[in-house]
Amino acid sequence: MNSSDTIAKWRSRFIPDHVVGEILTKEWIDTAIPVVMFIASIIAFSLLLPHFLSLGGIVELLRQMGELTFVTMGMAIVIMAGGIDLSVGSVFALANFLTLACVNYLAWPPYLALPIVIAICGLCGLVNGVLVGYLRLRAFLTTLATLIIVRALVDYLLFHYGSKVVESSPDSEFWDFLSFGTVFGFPFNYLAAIVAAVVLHVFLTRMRLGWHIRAVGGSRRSAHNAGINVRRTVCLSYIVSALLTGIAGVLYAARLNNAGTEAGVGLEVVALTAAVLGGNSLGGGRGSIPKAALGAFIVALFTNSLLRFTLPSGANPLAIGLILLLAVATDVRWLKNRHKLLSRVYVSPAYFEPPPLLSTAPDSGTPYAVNNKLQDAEPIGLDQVDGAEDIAFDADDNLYTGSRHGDILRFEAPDYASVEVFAHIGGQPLGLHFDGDGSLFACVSGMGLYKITRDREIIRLSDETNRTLLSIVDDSRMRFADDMDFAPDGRVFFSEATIRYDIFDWATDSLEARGNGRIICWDPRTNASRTVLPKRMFPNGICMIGDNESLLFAETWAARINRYWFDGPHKGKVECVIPDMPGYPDNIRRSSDGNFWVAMLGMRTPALDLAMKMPGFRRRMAQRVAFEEWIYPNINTGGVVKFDANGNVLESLWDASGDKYPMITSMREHKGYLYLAGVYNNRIGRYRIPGADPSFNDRHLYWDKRK
Amino acid sequence: MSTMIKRVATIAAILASVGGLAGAGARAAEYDDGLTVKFQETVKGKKVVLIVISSGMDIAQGLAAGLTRQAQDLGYELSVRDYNWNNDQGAQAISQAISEKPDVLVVQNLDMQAYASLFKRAIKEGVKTIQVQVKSTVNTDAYVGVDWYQIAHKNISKLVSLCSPKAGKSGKIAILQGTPNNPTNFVGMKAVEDVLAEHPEITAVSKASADWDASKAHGVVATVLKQTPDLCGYMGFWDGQDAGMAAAVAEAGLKGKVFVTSSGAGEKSTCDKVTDGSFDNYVAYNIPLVTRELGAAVAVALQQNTKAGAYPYANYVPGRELTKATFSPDQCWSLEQLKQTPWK
Repeated sequence: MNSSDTIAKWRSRFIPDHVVGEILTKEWIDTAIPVVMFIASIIAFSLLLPHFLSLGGIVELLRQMGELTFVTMGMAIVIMAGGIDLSVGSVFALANFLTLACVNYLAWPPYLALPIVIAICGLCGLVNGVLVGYLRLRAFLTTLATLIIVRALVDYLLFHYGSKVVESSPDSEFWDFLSFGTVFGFPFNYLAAIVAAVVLHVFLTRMRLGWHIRAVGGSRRSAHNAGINVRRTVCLSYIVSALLTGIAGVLYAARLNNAGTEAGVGLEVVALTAAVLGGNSLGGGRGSIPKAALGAFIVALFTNSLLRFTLPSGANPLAIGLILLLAVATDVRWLKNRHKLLSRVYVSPAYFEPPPLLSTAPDSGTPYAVNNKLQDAEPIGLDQVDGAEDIAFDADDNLYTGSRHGDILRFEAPDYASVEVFAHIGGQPLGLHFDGDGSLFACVSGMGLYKITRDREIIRLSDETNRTLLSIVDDSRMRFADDMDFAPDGRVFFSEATIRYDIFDWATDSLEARGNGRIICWDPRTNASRTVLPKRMFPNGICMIGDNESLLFAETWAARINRYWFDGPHKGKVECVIPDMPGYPDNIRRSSDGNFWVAMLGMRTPALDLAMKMPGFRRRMAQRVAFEEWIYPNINTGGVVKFDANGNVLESLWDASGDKYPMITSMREHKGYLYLAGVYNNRIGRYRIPGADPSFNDRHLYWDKRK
Repeated sequence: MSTMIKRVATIAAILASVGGLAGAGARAAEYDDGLTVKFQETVKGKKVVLIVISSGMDIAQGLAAGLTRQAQDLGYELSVRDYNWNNDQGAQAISQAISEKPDVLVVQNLDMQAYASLFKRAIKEGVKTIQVQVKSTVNTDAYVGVDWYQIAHKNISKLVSLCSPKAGKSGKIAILQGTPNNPTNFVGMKAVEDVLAEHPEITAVSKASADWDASKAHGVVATVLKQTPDLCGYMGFWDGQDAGMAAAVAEAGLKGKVFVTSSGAGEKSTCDKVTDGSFDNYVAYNIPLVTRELGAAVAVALQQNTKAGAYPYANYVPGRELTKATFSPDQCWSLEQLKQTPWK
């Protein structure tokens, strides 16, 4: 190994490049910018302003933030639903006036007055909602009009009753609590805002209606097509906004007892600034309540702190304007460039030194020498299968395979001419195996491990495993369950090929040459799963070796087959059985003569093998070259190899023409035939194995032995 | 590197303290009448926060200039904050100031009620609080400033006498309000109502409000003038807003025919409006005097070791009436001059 190889190897081992891409895929990354801004402003202001971080200072700061937080949350909900609510400033003023009028002038008890006031504000929201949601007027102009109308109403009321409503203030403990109360040292109004934030967050992220709001904001048409009542959802967002603004107005009235005309003037701009600054995208669909609360906090922090510098009048609105500009620019640029950035940095190649490449030339004399034996295999389901990755047989010899459309297909024995959808699962089924009761176990990509009973009942067995402590990708979620097998005690060992890619770009994982996959064990006694063997390169082809304590598995991109002891004295040990396949091994199955079949889904090429030792080259390629032009594993040619438990390769079967079975992802020997599946092939093959046991059914190796 | 910085800092600190001692030594030579040194030492280094409506407003500029000068001369620390006509920001500024625990807090109110509870809290927290020029419903350590009832009373009385049918006029006047809950307006309206009650021959045709905004005032007044061709007089509550009123009267060609009364800080630039006949009667707050009295109140509050809010007192500074006929330049003040007037 030369020195540049050594550097590349150690670099890829110790610098976790892939983390950058994984962080960028996280939803919370949208919040990262405001969080950084938040921390930076706290540090800046605490250096610039004395007493800034004193307890009293913070409590005061929070007390002033409560109302803005309420209004901003309402604004954020409307924005998430794809709208904008400019009327909040006036509704806020209305709530303020009505509260003072009810409590001070009419002397109603506060607990009666407040719900009425908030409900009236809700009515204002209903007007907006009907106009924008049902009559489909433009949100911007409509709410601008309601802003003016409600403001005019408030001004009228203030002029006529303004001095009356502030002449007395109620003698009520409840009222005093609203104004200056603290709970465990927290100002009541901010605490109320936090409680509301939690409730709204749960509403938006965990409840149907909340999901609808973001769905509508993300794409009205898609939401409509998905059966969501778009108009009602939009209308509802305005009502929620107005109710929250009403609460804010009530708290403001309690705090200041101020029937001034300036209450709520310009509040819509401040709330909008806060909502967008927090990372709620103006385009709708993207956002959250914590983001709104964070945005409100930052804006309040700024305005409050600027107030403490001796600045000329107008500095504060100027600051708000600049922050809004910054927030909108960040929002637009970030949304536009995030995916570009992500696609540039997500593929993160590591160093891998491939084993020596053995020849497969017809005259090479190796067991891998290409022949044309599969040319005569009979087709099954010609042009009917799409994404048949694996095959299984039930007790009546019917053939089962998966499809790209999320179905499990059943071909009827004995001629396999007719086909039906056996079950619709949703994700693409990969590895398939029958258990002793005749239930079909399936590894489903994007979903996990499933069982389909004889009665076609679909049962989810496992879709999560233990999460790795420092993993950034949520690896408790199963992204790519690939192949499985049964241990004698009923445990299921299954592989997850990669935790970094989905089924549609599975081959991109090969460019990373990193141990992104793992083997997981599902235990029927506890109905829980645990990762037993992490960090494997596209592990695949789980197959029990027959000694009740070890299994074989392939590491596709490493072109090797390993043996793993899950029980017995060697428990946990992994030993390489075949280190140097000329192609990429996929599923492994038992053969009637006590050996193993392994499918090769593609062949190694010298160019890619060389590139495996050049992670920098592959990184530059992934960043600069269009996806279609990448150097890629050759998955247009493959074959089947037979080997014994000691790793001796016995023979290989090929379709030299490459037009019938160009790639093979799985095969299964059944009653004298070898059935061939390839996820990109347009047929399943049936090859008569000369001299094979005509009664062989690999299920007998598992189930009948014990009966 | 950091030890180097520390060393430099240490040297600088030593030099500074030597310099300080030298300065103190020089002052120590001054005659002490028994309070001189005590006064200087008590006031020095204290913290005062002044919160004003808007630093663009002449009254606030005058107050800030006066206190800044006093702070320089007496060596206390003054911080001026400006809430720009926004009660919420004002409340923020006050509560923030309370949490900083200054020795004296000076507030120019915008509203009767808005800061009432905050003032109660300031006193509870032991922050001596002085309200200046505009007083809320709550009493604090001191109020220094004009008596709004008296100011408005002067104007309305003048207008009533000028417009009375006895004087051959229509008896129709109009009032231009600011915001209803501002003490200037609220208390002023009481005076207006009291005077009008005594004079049933006078009718107020409009009491519309213009939110202290000159352009709004212009619109309101222009409309009222059209609606009431025989209007005799118009009364406003603050010159900042009433500039729009005077402009509307002038544009209607009624300058000199419709009597315009206003009140305000009486800074030199507004005095011009008296000499050019825009304001027929103008009651000026004597801001240099208010500032002087405010400075005195601050100095007292800084020296007296009493409980905050224990002895509330007021010092009402009378306004003075300016008319074109009786005008003399010394009745006005200028900001420049105020900035230069030494405290001691």
